[in-house]
Parts: sequence; C-alpha cells; structure tokens
Amino acid sequence: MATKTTKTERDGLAVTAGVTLLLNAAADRCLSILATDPAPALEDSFALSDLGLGAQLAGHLARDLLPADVELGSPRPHQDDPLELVRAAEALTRTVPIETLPAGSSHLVVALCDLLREHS
Amino acid sequence: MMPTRDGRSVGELLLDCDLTVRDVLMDTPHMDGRVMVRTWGEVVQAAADLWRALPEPDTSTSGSAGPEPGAVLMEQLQTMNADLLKAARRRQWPGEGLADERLLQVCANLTTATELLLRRRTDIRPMGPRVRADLDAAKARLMHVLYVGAHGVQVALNRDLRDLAVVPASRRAALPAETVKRTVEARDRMAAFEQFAGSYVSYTFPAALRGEHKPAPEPDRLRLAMATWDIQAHRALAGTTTAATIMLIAQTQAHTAFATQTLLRAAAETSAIEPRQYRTRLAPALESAQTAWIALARTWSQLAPSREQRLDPDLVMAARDIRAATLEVIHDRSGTSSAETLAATVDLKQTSQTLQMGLATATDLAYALREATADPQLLGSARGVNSLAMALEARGPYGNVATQAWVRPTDHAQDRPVALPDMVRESAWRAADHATRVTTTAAGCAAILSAPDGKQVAKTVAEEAGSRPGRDVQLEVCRSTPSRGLRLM
Repeated sequence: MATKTTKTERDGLAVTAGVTLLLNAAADRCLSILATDPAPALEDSFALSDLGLGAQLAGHLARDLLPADVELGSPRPHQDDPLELVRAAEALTRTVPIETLPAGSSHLVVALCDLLREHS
Repeated sequence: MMPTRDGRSVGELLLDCDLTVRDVLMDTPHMDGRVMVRTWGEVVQAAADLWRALPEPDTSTSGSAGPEPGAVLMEQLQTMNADLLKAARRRQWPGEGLADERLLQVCANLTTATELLLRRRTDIRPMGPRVRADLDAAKARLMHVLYVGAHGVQVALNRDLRDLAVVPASRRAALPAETVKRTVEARDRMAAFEQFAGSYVSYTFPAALRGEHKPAPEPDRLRLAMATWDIQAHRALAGTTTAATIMLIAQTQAHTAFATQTLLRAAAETSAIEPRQYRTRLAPALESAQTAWIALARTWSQLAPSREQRLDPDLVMAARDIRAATLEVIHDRSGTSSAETLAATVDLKQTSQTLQMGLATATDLAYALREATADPQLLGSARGVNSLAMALEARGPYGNVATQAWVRPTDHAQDRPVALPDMVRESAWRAADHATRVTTTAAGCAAILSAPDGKQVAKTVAEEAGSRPGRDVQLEVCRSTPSRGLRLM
C-alpha cells in the first residue's frame, strides 16, 4: 500500500538530509586539514582524525535514515571549522519537532551529542 | 567500585541509565504518558535509595556542618514523588496496566547499583579528593537521569493531552474518569519535579563528570577491535566493492595510524620501547603512512556517490569499535592524554605489540584495497569523477585539452554512479599503491616492537645502525619484515 508523505515528515527528511551533508562536510574538512603541509601536531591530528571519523560514521547513520531515492544535493557549508559543522548539524536537528524526524533518529541525536561532548 | 555480576560498575550502570532516559526522551512522541507515569514513581524511589547508599562526604573536609544541598533536594523530590503516587493510587488514572520497559530497566540498574554500594560501603576511610570527585560525578549523573526522565514523562503527557483533545465523544466515555484533568495535573507536577532536579543539574552537569572515575581500558579491547576491523574490511573488499566502502576503510586506517603513533610516542617517551629507534625510524614511517591513507581517503571521498547504496553494517560497526577503542585509551575527557597518563593507565609495552600486529595486518589490507581499486565494476560519483579527471588532465603536459566530456551531462546533473575513466582509476590505483608501500615500510620498522623484551633487540639494531650512514641504515632496519612483491594491475 502506498503511503503519503506529510509536510512535517518531509521537513524531517529535509533536516536529516541537511544533517547528512553537514556531517559529510565536517568529515571532509577534517581530512583536508590533516592533509595540509605542515601537518598539525600529533595531539591535534588524533583529535581531528577522531572528529572526522566520528562525523563520517554519524553521517552514514543519518544517510541510513533516509529513503534511498532522496536527493542529498550539494553541500554548501558556511564555515570551515569541522567542529562548528558538527554543531550546526546538531542544531539543525532541533529545528523540527522530534516526532517529524525519521524513526531511529534518537541514535543520530545521541551520536551527535556524544561527538560534541568528546570534542568540546 | 566493584563490578556487578554482569561486569558493570556503579558508574557504568549510571551511564546506562543516562543513555536510556535520553533514548526514552527521543521516543516520547510515540509513547503513552500514562504508562510512563505508572513506572516513574519506581524510578524516583530507586534513585533516592541509591543516593542514600552513596557514601557521605566527610563534613570536616567539606567545610559544611549541615546536610548537603543535594541530599535535601533529593528528599524534596522523593516527597513530590510520594504525593504523586498517593494521588494516583486514590484515583482511576493512571490505573493499573502496562509498565514502561525502559524505565523499568533504569530502576533495575539503579537498584543493582544500590546493592553494590551497600555491600561495599564501610565509611571508615577518609574520603580523598579523587573519591570525592567521583562521588560528585555519580550524584550529578543520577540527578541528570531524573531530570531528563521527568522531562520525557512530561513530553509524553503533553502528547497525550493533544491526543485527548481530538478524541471523539463516543470514545471519551470509555476513558477513566477525569482523564484530562488528571493528565494535566500529572504534567504540571512533573514540570515542577523537572525544575527542581534541573536546579541541581544546572550547576553540576556536565562539569562534575570531569571528576568521574574512569576505569582502566579493557586490555584486550583494542586488540579485538583491530582484529574485527581487519576481518570486516577484508570481507568488504572481497566482492564488488563501492567507493564509500574504500573511503571508510582508508579513513579508518588513517585514524588507526594516528592512534598508533600517539601510543608509540608515549611508549617511547616513557621508555617502554626504545626511544631512539622510534624517533629515527618508526615515527617518520608512521607519518608517511598517515599521509598516504589521508590522501587515499580524500580521493575516495570525492569519488563516493552521494546516493550510493548503504554500507555494510558490520563494517560500520567495526569502524565504530576502532574509534571507541582508540578513544577509550587515548582520550582523557579534556583531550589527548599525556604520555605520563597513558603510561599510568595502559600497559604500553603490550599495547605496542598489539599495534605492531595492527600494522602488519594493515599491509595486507592495503594490498586488498589496491586490488579492489582495479575492479572495473567499481563506480564513482559522476561529479567527483568529472572534477578529478579535469584536475588530473590540467596537471598533465597539455592541460585541459579533451574535447569530449568525462561524464554524460545527465549523469553529472543527477550525480549518478559512473564507471571510472582510465585516468581516474590509474590515479586512484597509484594512491593505493603508495599507501601499500609506505604501510609495508612502517610495518617493517615496527617489527622491532615484537621483540621479547621490546627493547634489547631494538637497541642492538639501533647501535648497529649508528655505525652506518643514515639512509642505508634506514632501509636495512625497515627491511626486517620481508616485503611482498608488488603486483601490477
């Protein structure tokens, strides 16, 4: 039976797609910083690498919440700081009521909160 | 604090409660507030029991003669809860029925933690600052559980009220008497409860958690995580793989290389391994490996299609385990742990041998990844392929002279997965080949770590090395593991 997508559900999907893009951008940004010459100090590198991998994994978690046919679009992050991008992703999840996010989003929200807690 | 029969300490039980109520909060829109109210009373009771079981700080050192403000607050919360329960028992609402399973689990955890403390508690030794900090953290965590849980119940009750507002009159008659009135009353009382608990949380959470006792990492966790990762990554590369899979593998390998260097540097600084050998041979080799894996991850990040099929969940789980295991060892709440902290919490000699095994398996994984790159069925994002091909062509002797587009405009517009042009595939293969070579070199340099005492052989090799010119010696030392012949595409 075909199911109709309501406006609020669409909002939830749009937010999840936006979160996915922001997390992907954060992961890419971490890799770019790690690839700079000279490379950051080892302590910073480990933290950046961890943030990047954490963002990448959370990004997959977000992507998995979306139906396969959802177009993600192109990332247009407004900033370069990967931690700020993760913060922006977390803030984005708050822009819609929780019930409009796809089922299973609680894990994503917890993953984002954990990532921010570990790197703040 | 002593672990329970299931192996969890009081801190871990509290953490589990905290995570569970957060989960409950996320799912409250789909939950029945009445069911939650029925169970909530037990949660508060179990929390109050645990609070009382916690050792009391020594008043002579805390500088306060009266009872702790937290203890007073907990008593007030318990009184509020008792009033709520009393009112509920007198009325038909919420009535008897199902209980919330997750809140019951929170109760069970809190009760187990209480039993654990009652068995251990002696109150005979003076409380040191670290124990005091751990105690403060436990209280902050416990109050946070009540704060988040109360908010969850309140959200669920609000949702119930919205639903009740649209219930047809015919169905409303079947509901217990005064359902709306009692739901409003319970919601308001939960709001007051939340505010009370929040007053404690606002000045303790999460700052107090910094003093929480952190148990020593499981000695085998890193080794198991690395072994599981190696198996899952090989499995993911065995069949037809995807760009996103290669990207995640490369990024996780880079992360492992950073973690390896962080731990080996600490081992060298605390003389768990031979410092000179590390500084002159291993560190440069590891840096090259990191750079190569990062470059590979960046290449495949560009090529991974945005709408690619889902990743293998086992691979994702294994990558998560790698991250969690390295973070547990290296991260110290405020950031990367110092060498001294690492030496105090981890057996760095044993960890060095685990890392050496990790580098050995990374070599094989690098070969597998390089082979996967040659798979003609491997697809890339149309936009990524186009931009990489343009960049590669521009770097060539003639610049961007191709008259034909690298991908079809419709594929580009929709960013469809497309076959990799030869130039792009060769570039990706060269990046994988470079990662293979530098990882092999790093694994060869790390072979000294598996020496029985971890130092003697390293020293001998280093002494021999000292009598020869630098570059030749480096090659000699790094060849201590026979290298595998490079295979061509």
